[in-house]
Amino acid sequence: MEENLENIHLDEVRNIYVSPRVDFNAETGVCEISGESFLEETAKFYSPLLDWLKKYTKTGRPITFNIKLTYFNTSSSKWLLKILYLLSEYQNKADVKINWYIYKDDIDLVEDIQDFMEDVGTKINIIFYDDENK
Amino acid sequence: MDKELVKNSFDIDQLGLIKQLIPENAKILLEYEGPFSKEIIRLFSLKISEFIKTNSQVYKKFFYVFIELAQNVKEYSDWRSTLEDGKNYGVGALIIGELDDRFILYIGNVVNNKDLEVLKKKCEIINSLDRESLRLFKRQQRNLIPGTNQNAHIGLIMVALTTRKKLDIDIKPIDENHSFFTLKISIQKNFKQTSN
Repeated sequence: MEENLENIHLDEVRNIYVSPRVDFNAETGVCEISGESFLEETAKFYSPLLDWLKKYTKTGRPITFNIKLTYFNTSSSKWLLKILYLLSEYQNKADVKINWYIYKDDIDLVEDIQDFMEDVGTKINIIFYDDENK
Repeated sequence: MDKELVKNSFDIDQLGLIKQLIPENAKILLEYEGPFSKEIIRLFSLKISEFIKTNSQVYKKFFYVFIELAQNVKEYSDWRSTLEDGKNYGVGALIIGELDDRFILYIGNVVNNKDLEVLKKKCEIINSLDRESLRLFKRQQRNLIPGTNQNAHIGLIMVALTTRKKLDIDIKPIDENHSFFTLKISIQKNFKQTSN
């Protein structure tokens, strides 16, 4: 009953608001969100992504989830949390890796990621990078 | 929400109210009063990257705090204005300034006195918590269902966490039912990285 999942590719859109770049790959299981997430209607943007992940997590295949967001607003953070809860649950069934890439001096974000971990009860690998891609 | 029905407008000098709070030696980089539309918020957020070029951590903190507070004005100011796009935006005022050791953001809007008590209480709670408790409080608020009007409160928590300071507020009565509420934010320029 395995569904055929289409890959998701969305380019970053910089308008008044900024939506992040998204690459979800159903074959490799590598899923990535990068750039900025500064959105007003977060549900409209994130609920299709969450739906996709819900379908993917029915396959039992491994997933690597990479977050490379330099900025996300508070309402985006609530959706990130939902995604992390889903991935955390999926860990019981499959190999799940969550990597969060952050610029080296962003200590506020380190703390925030620790708090996300505390909430979802899953390890998130914090990977520091050096050059700022602003 | 019945915000659409609210057509409050006030004959007050918002910028004047904020200006009297600004330290005398502050260099003013930007001042504004009017509706906090999406365009304005985006425009000012881009301006901030011009003002703060030297330290990316200071920039990020300032940007983050600005967005949270500007959105609070847009959503929750009691003074509403309908723009050409047919949408209803909160009216408020802000001053961004610079001193030798810090950048400042003073931002204010009209609040109904009914809501003011809740807001004051919220600030008192936030100011009474140490950092660990504040982080826990943030987690509790973030776990609430998206779309509830808790966003304003989580915004204030995030501001306290980001600035690592108590919320510094000023309240001036306007008439028997309304007050002008200003948040006085300052972010140190030489923000030291604290590793734990």
